[in-house]
Amino acid sequence: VFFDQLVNGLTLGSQYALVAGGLALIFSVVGIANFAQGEFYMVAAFMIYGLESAGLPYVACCVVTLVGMAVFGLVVYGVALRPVTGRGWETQLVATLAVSLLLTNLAIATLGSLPVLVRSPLLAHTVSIGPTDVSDQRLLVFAATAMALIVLGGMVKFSKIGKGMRAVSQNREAAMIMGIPVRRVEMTAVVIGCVFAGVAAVTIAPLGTVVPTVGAPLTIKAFAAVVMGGFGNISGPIVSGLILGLVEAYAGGYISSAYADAFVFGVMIVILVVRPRGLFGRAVRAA
Amino acid sequence: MHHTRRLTVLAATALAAVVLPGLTAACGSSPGASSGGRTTVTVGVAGSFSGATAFYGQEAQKGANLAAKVLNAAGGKYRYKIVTADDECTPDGGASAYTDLVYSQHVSVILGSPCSAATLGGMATLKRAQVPDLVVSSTSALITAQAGVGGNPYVWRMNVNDATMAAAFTKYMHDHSVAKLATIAVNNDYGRGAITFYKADAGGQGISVTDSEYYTQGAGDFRTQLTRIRFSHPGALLMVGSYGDAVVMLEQMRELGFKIPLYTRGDVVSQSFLSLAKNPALGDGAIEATNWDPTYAAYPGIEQAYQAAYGTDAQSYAVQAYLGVQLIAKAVAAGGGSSADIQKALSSIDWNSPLGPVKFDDHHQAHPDLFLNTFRNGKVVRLEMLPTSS
Repeated sequence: VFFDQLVNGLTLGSQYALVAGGLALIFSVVGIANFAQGEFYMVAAFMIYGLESAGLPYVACCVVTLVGMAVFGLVVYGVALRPVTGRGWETQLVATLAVSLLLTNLAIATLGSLPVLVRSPLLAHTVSIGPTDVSDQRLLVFAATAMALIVLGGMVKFSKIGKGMRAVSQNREAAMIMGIPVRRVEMTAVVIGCVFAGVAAVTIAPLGTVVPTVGAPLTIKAFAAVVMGGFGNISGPIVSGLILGLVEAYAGGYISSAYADAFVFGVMIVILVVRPRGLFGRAVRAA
Repeated sequence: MHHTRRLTVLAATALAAVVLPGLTAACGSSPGASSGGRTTVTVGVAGSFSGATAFYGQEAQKGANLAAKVLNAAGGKYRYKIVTADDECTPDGGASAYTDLVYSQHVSVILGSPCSAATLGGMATLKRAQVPDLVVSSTSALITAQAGVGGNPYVWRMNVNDATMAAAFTKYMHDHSVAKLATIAVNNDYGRGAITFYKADAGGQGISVTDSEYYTQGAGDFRTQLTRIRFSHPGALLMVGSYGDAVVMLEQMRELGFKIPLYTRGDVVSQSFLSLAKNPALGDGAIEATNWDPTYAAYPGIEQAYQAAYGTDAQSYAVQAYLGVQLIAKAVAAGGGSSADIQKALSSIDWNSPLGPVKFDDHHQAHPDLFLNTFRNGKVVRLEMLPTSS
């Protein structure tokens, strides 16, 4: 059971980590708590479903969906996020909630609320790892998550735009004075956040059904990961997303699946009591 | 200043336009309006039209609209108009939707809701407004217990409920040598309510329940629950959920190499499952107890008309809503189109419907047939039709 639930937990955790990673990146750089991050996953999942229904092979669907999500990120930044950067948190909250509701209801109105399936050729083949069987699709989830996180880490640390992101997240005004193109940096962060949701969707959507309301529970879990990991950094929420997935799987596996969510949020509360700034959060002195 | 006054007047006018009709209107039991020599009977479909369960209401609306279209085309003294209200599949939403249908849309009768929780939430409104509600698909036995004698006289149920289905289905399992059963159900009133009956009735049949798992509707990953079930070593698995969840669950059972006889509730053994799964053999052998006939053999005309109108297969909520409107039309033909007329006529209805006999007992529960179906070679096949009226 232990090894089985490890596989199950890592799958769930990968999904939470990717969505939480995008959420944390947008929050760190743009300064907006994006309540539509789960809906970005939904958009990508329906995008790959549409492409697959049009007859494209799975790999091509993945590539086009990721490109599509990058374009979607540009649109979201330009239409919904850029106008509210620097505004009060209430305005930002309402703006991202509006995006979330708009996307969900647009999907229900245009695509209906019945579930759809994304097919992947990798589902048909399984490999035995230790005492359990795992489909190739699930292995792809692990590999894609690891790769996405490594690429993001490398980019933030070594690339010019990544250094710009770090500068903007530390002090937006100072970065602007130093000539860093803040708007472009913000736009890049939103695009990466959307592409992360796309990576989660193209790899994980084939493991389940896709419905227009799939985003809301993901957003909640991603926020739990960000709160648990500590606001203002990216690695904390990603690690926390993986931890939450494992807690959900082990709580469901050893205690009760009916209360798995209760355990997830229970762990989050305990961590916040013990470390109020989150697992990886640091104390910041008010200016 | 002048501008502000004008805005205030405008706002007050708009508010009055919204509020006054509601205040001055009579309750929903008012008789139908006359149109072109025919009296209009307004039927309110309560159902979920938003969120994860939006298809409940959408399907019910399609079925009701189709039935109304057929009835209206046939002519006669009455014309049927379908209106809807979103109950969000919740008790609060049910109360709000029923209030909207009765007091704002002035329906003569309500059809629904497909969600037990919403039906239970709306029942108090029916009693106040004296408007009958015909339940056609929600399955909670609580509705039957609270309807008719000693309860709410305005609630009538046409479909078989969970208590009846659980008793018959667990007996069928026992007769087919199931000794150890695990259950997995959607974590809501429907799933939890049904499992309560199945666990009790399984015990009564000498079947031990090795594990009971729950999942969130639409959850993509069931491996955690399936792993737990697998290690409880059951002889069969009962799933109470929906066909979409069942497709994913069966694929993940295959991934885990976990093979076990599957019994289901919730439109799993249906054309919708086959259309979604794409692999026709995925569900082969699964057996389902239903309160409608997913082979469509009981009502070929409905399926063909539905296909022609919407281009898809009719699902249970659509078929049951269609038959519900037909039953309402029979009550209207017998007594008249007002709420009071329909309420009175329902008590003496005796209809041999495509789903079996519909005659209400003192709890306003009808006793049509129970259908047992399976997948065989990628097709929905009826195994048995069990009468529940004895």
